[in-house]
Amino acid sequence: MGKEKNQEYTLKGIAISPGIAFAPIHVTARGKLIAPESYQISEKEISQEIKRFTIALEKTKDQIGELHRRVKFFTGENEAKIFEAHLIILEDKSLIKKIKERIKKRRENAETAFYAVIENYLEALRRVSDPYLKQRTADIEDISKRILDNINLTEETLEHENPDHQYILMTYEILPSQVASLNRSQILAIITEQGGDATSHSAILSRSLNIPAVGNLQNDSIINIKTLSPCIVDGYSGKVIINPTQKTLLHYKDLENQKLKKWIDLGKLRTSKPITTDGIQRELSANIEFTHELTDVSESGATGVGLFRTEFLLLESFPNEEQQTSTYSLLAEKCKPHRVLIRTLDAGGDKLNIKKLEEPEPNPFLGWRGIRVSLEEKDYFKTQIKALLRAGKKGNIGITLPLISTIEEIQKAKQIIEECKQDLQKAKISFSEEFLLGVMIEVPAAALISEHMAQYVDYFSIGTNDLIQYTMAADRINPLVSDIYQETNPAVIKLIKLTIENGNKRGIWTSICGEMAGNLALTPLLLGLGIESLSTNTHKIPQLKQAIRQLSFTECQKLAEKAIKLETAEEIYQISLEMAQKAYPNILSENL
Amino acid sequence: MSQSNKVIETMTVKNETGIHARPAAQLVKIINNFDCETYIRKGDEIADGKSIMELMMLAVGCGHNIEVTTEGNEANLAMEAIKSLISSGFKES
Repeated sequence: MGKEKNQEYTLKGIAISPGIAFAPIHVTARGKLIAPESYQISEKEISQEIKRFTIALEKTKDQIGELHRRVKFFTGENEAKIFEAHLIILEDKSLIKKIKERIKKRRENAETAFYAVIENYLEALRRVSDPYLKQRTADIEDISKRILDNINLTEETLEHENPDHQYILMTYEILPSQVASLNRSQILAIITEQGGDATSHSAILSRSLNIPAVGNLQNDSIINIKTLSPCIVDGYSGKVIINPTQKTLLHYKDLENQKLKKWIDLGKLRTSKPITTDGIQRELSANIEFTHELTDVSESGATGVGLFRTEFLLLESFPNEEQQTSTYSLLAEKCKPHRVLIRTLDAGGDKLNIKKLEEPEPNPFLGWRGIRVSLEEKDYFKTQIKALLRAGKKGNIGITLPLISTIEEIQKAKQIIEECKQDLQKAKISFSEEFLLGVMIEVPAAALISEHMAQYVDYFSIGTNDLIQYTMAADRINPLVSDIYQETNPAVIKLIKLTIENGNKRGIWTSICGEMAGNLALTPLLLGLGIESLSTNTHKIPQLKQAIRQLSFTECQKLAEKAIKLETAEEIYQISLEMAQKAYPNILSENL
Repeated sequence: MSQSNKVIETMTVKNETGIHARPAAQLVKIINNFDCETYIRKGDEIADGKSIMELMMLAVGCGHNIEVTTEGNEANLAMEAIKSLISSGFKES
């Protein structure tokens, strides 16, 4: 066991969400199953040792039961199933008997007996050639880690499940639903052993919640970290410093102040406008998914909300029409005189409490999700639409329809909106006719027929993450193909250009609300393509505004004309980056 | 042990992922419902149908044959339930 206590050391990972945090660390799950300390027990200690084991088993059952409940609630029945299997493992009589026997016969401490029995199983499984079955060792390792931690717990009582102080959460991997349910006032930063993808949903969420995060740490280093060790998380460079010395601490306090000062300087920009050197004004709005982020929206100087995601709002508790109306009303009211564009539920059908999907779809990203679900499950959709229409009275609301691929889908959605209006009229509930209707352009088909689509709607909102994924047929989180997921591939740029042009022809505006909107290297290109509005995370807004204020629209247009003729993603990225580097080197260097 | 029913049947596992953690859990859950002993054999190895760990250790993959033995008061019922789960490819009921 690592006895060189209190020595400073640094773990290197990948920067996921910017910011600096100082707090004791709290480790909740360890990466690898490691051999526990082994010692002999006396005859008299046998019953006590068995008791330690059974207490740990019960405690683990409680934890897994709680996890099962939570994941089922936030993520869905299917994801929760694995915890059911974990519970059944914990009740495996033959497993438990083997461990108890080992404690009795070999006089081993509970940890060792447990570890030895489990390792025997794991060894056998590792020798299996079937890849599916081989993978399953992960489940057994996962549950075994918990049990081992829980056996130790009775001795050390250090690793509480929920510490009552502020801390830095260190864990194996974190799910979006878990990030969403984190207590922000307690958890100052997140360190994950896995998950180095800055565009994953968890990463996007941690940035939107302003929680500094570092991911993808080395396995070997994480296992030595003790809960309650003092720690600094540097979410700018992706470093984690354990047991920092006074000197390091001061260095980081300094750095934090500098960053803070810069933020305040940028904050002064709040009242200035995103206007190019040659006088073209663009709109900068915010992507959010919680109402508590509204303060950040106004502080960042964003003009309203360009994307309010409703998945977390709806999937957590399926709020009724009244509850939804009050949330949307709050958004509308707080954003006034600006707009708030609210995207209707954009989830897979499996996330709804409906019996329809007996088994997982073979290809969920090409399956039943977004508007496709809404048009079938009309009750859910109508509740949301009615709430949106009612909230329209409090401000300027836009209803954005996700994953549109055909004209019929827009027509059907409009039909349902009409029905909702009639229902409300019949029920004598007041609502506003003054709302905007928009569609997400995320499917190449939608971009290609955007000229037709423009006749039916008031705005386009380009969701670049999905548009790129569907255009390139590459999953950005699959490392085998993620290099084909190219933001600036000429195909993607052409689709964006076409959408903007078709919108212009029909007099409607286009906004970009994907990750690409916040990429400062691409601002010259996007402005040049004629984008009217960029919607991004609030912390990006001040920098983006400053960037726009350094750019000439005419130059950007020339750049875009040149870009559209280039052959590769890299070439297009380079010419945009070059212009960005010339115009705002300082802001850029911090963000790349 | 009383001289009660004993049923033996051979079946083929057809689901793509074989009997990994989740299907094994389903199997245990079903077997626990019946008043009988259940053993599952693949080749030379035998697993107690009530032990998820032993079931996983059999490493039953797609296309493998297993021999199921149920013995006890509800041996027939148990066999039917196991057969229907396995032939459905571990579909949720």
